[in-house]
Amino acid sequence: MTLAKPDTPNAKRLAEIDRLIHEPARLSLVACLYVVEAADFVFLMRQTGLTGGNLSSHVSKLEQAGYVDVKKSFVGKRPQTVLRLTSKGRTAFERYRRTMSGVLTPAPRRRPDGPGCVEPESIVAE
Amino acid sequence: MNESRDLDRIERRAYQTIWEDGLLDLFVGAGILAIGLSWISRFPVLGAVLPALLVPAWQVAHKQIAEPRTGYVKLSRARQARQKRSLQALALLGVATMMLGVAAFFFTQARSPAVDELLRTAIPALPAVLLGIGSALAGMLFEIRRLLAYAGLLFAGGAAGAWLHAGPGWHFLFPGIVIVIVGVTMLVSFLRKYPAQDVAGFP
Repeated sequence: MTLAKPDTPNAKRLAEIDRLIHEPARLSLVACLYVVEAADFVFLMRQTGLTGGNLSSHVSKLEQAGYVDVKKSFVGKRPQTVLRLTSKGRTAFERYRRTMSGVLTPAPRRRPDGPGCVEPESIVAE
Repeated sequence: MNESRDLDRIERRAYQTIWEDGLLDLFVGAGILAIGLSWISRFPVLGAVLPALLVPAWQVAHKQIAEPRTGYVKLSRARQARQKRSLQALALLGVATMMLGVAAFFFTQARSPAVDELLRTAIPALPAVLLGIGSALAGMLFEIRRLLAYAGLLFAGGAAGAWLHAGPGWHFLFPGIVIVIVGVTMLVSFLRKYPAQDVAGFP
């Protein structure tokens, strides 16, 4: 992945990135919670492909940061853990999106045989 | 923007999980069969009541069968509002269809010699066609593509019934049976793919 030089505005933006959200599994989890009102533990496991233990550990971190609200209840005899993004978490994710969009703004396409910037799609793909 | 499209995709995927268990197909097929059989047994009122009961039955079945396997999700407010509007539009269309269907049934009982041929061919097929339009509309509103295919089946059922001069009700049997079979197949596949989760949740 090609990053900007340290003294450029992009580098400053990158330094401001919320690392709690930036971690891929948590990013997937937060993005999933961002597009719905609430979801339970099983649903998030299915959607993110994370194991129960992994998901638990990521949820703990997000809960500690106040990004996620966790409510436990019973549906009949079955325990259910429902999660929702708090307003703090929602704001943090929106800020993260803005920052990443700013860093990964489209650049001119590079000719295969010439110098220049790499295609923005390839940065995102990486 | 790409990332907005990605979030839309994530939202759509979350939404689509609600419909992938086959229960919708099973209940839609059962509803269509119920309408057809009630007409054949000359008790069309039952055909108006039974499909309405299938909606709460689907909700219970989804909660009991699908949620322990794929989890619970409360959709975004925008999606919920869109669904509510779609349901209202479909309910209006459903009431209109049923009223027209029941009226058509009684009309065909008049046995007026002058219009007998027309009644025997075109009018009995009309409810199937209207239900097909409803299915196509639901498919577009709820973004469930296979409902469009079911609409095609209903149109075909209506056309075949009219061609064969079948009485009211027979037009629904073929589409109903096919949709029930699709529903059962999807449900079996869903149950195999998603065994009930023994994960209680976040410790």
